Formats: sequence, structure tokens, C-alpha cells
Amino acid sequence: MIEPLFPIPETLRSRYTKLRIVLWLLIVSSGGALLFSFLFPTIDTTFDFRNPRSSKNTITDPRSPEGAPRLNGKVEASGTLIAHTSVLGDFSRGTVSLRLEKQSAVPEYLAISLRRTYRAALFPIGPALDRLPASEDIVRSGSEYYLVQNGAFHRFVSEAAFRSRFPESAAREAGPDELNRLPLAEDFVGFRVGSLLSFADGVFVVTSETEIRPIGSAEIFLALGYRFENVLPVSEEDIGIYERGRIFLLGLPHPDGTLLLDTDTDVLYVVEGNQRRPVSHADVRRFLEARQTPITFSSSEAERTSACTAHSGWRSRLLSCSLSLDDLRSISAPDYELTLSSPTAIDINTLSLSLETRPDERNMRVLLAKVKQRILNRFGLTTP
Amino acid sequence: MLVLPASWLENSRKNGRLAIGLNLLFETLIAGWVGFFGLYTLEVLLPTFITSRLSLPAFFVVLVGGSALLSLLAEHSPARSVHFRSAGRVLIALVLLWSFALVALSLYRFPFWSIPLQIGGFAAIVFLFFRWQKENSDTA
Repeated sequence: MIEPLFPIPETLRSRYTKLRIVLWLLIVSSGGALLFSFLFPTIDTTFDFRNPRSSKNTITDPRSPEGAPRLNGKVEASGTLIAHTSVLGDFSRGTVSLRLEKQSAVPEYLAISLRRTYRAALFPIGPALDRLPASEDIVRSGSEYYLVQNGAFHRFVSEAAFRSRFPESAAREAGPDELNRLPLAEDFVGFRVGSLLSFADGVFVVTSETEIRPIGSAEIFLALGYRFENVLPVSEEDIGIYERGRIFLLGLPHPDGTLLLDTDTDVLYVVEGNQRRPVSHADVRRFLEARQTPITFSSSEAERTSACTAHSGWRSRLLSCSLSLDDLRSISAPDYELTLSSPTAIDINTLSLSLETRPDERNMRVLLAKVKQRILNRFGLTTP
Repeated sequence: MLVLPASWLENSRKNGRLAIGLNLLFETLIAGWVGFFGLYTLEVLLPTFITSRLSLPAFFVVLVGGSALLSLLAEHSPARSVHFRSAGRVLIALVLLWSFALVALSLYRFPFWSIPLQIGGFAAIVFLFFRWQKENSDTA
């Protein structure tokens, strides 16, 4: 123990000792609380309705059930606001808080619910997909494949690009001098939209016929339900036909072309234009599943919610409530859909959701493994 | 300059409460500084690991403020001359080792030729600071 630096009168020694014990208990408990918050962090996500375009908003896409944006924070009487957030982690509790504008009426209560599933799994169901898109005339000459379209030959950038879109039987051998019959278009046909490509150290997802986007990290890649065995290693020429879009991070729905499999109904969907198109043709399904393992979700689990009722506390314009996330633990998707309904018209200033990491050994090991990995990366060492 | 009621300070000094407060503040600061350097070392090792959860600059300002308060109040304490026990060799060795490790970590992956330049530049600044301090004290 540290001896007193400033002499203490003998009569106050006992009091000083007691105060010292209290002080060190406080210091140790503060240190413990700090360590606990490092090991089991609380992740805060927010949406500022006064700055709806701010990049700091980690809650996204506030809207009505019909899909109309609610970027100004106004919710009419008996109205509902839906928003999303995406976070990685194993959480035990969530706390939803709303700060209302000064002129807003304060409702007696707010009904709040949270569900967890991939955003794309909540897209409305679109028309069935009963054939592969653009199954026009395809000719093969040696190892090169051409799509005959609009009076020209469009060369597939590689055999792998052709195989990502069509079965081998879709191409016919080019006749003598057939390739001289039509002009060769300048553009190339690339990979099926939704394909995963790797080049150098990056993994990219094909988001359109002309764009690829790098996936932010291996952690995000896995959290989105993708599998590394579905990634096609490609050449510089293959990747060179695409423009590189913005980095693909959490919070975005899966891009077009993604395969989603509902494990409850065994229906395979293809994401297209913010819709889920069920694949109704067995051959098409077999072909797609052979190319890419679908991302699985459960429609019944997607309907499972955790709910609470928010009331205003001592600060009347701040309403909050806390909900258990135990029922949503078995769902692996990183996306959460937050729904709030108000009996009276309100004007929200800020919406926030805080997620508390479950304090268990598994999460502690996950964090320590990440720390170890970061230290090894920092010094250019690899994990054994 | 800290302005506290003179009578309050005088009473606290006489009844010994000031000494208790100063000792408790001193121990809090010791724990705070040790904690700060521990967290700072972690931050050097794992950039953003600490600062994404805790503001180290704010923590530093609080510690500097606390240290300044201790220094000002100590002028009113009954023990005008404070004798610090000489730090043990082991403690000095530990501090030097820690400083060396921190500098080595900070300079990791810097171009080899720039390392003596940076260390030399830092040493020159320290030398100029002490010379300026000496000149000031000689003038006074």
C-alpha cells in the first residue's frame, strides 16, 4: 500500500484508512467495469432525423409499412415506422430510445418490436423465374463463347463467365465462317449478376452487368451468409470489364442475383429489383444451386419478434424500453428490423438502438481471438 | 490560479481534512496515470481498440487537471516539504523498459534510415527544453 504523502493527524488515521479502502474499491470496480465494457461491448446504432443523410446514421431506411420514406421523423396517429440496422455480434438485450422534438406531442406509450433476418429475405415475392434470363442463341468456337444478340456477337469474357450463366448444353458449335457472318460487339458478357469473384486479395460481388463491389471484410462476407467455396478466382481481364463500385458493407440488402433458400418451405428465391423471385423450374433451380450455394433463412424465424412498450421517463421527451434478444439468438443474420407504432402523432428527433453483448465465455473468446489476430496482422505474422 | 475560500482552506488544513483529501487525490491520480499509460500502450499496440470505446485525450485532460489541482492544493497542505522516497532501481528499469518497448512499437515498420532521425530529433527537443528551463532558472 502507498504510504500517506501528506502527514495525517493520528486522530484521523482510522477515518483515512476507511476512506482509502472505499477509494480503492471504487478504483478496482471502475477498472473492472471498463474491462467488462471492452470484453462485452454495447453497440449503439442511431438515426438523426435532423440529419437524415448523415453518414453517421447507423440505423437506415426509416419508412412506413408501405415503403414511403419517413426521413423527417414524423409519424401520424396510429402510424408505424420501420427501420433497419445491421451489426455483428451475439447480443442479449437491446434498448430502444426515442428523443422527441420539443413541439412534438408525448404519447402515452409506443409499441416497439424487433426482428432479425436478412433484409433481402423480407423483400416482397415477385413473379416466378421459370427460365434462365437471356437464353438466346449462344455459339462456341474453341474455348470462346459468344452470345448472339441485337445482330452482333457478344463475347463472354471467359469460359467461367459463360458457365456462371448457362449450362454447357446451351451453347452450340459455331458453323464454318459463322463468326464472320455478324459483327463482334465491343462489350463483353460477364458473370451472372450475384456471382462472387476473387482477384488479388479482394472478394467482389457482381451487382450489375457493369459493376462489381468489393466486400468490406471476411467477417462481413460470412455474416451475409456467403461461402468462400462459391468464390470464383478470376483473371485481371475478367475483372477489367467491370467498374468498381463502393465497398459493400453491412446494412445493405443482398444484391440482385443472390440465391435465398427458405428452409421452412424449401423454396429457392433469386433477388431481383428489391423482389424475391421464386425459382419454379426444376432445371433452372438445379443449375443455379450447382453454381452457388443459396443463403438460407427461415420464414417462420423471420416472423419471430421481441417486443416492448416504451414510456417516457423523468425526461418526458425521451421514451425508451428494453427487450430481450434471447428468442432471436438462433438466427444468424446481422440485420435487425425495428418497428414502432404510436397511438398519437409524434415528431422524432433521434432514434437509437443499443445492443448489449451477451456476457459469456464464448463472446469473450471471440473478442480475445480478434485481438490476437489484430496483433498478428499488425506485425505481419499469420495465425498458426 | 485556483480560487478557494481562504477560510475553508485554513479550516481544512487545521482539522486535517485537507491532508486526507490530498492523499486520496494523490492515490487516485497514481491509479489514473498507471491506467492511462496501460491503455495508451494497448492503443499503440492495437490502434483504435481503446479510442473506439474511451476517449484517451479526455482521460488525459482529466488527469492533467487532477494533477494541477493536487499541485495547487499541496501549497496549502501542512507538509510544505514533501520527501519522495527514491524510486527503486527495479522501478526505474521497468519504466525504461516500458518506454523502450513503446518507442520500438511506434517505430515499427518505419524506414530504417528515419529511425535515428526521429530519435535524434526528439532528443534535440528534450535538450533544448532543459537548456531553456536552466536559462530561465539562472535568470531568476
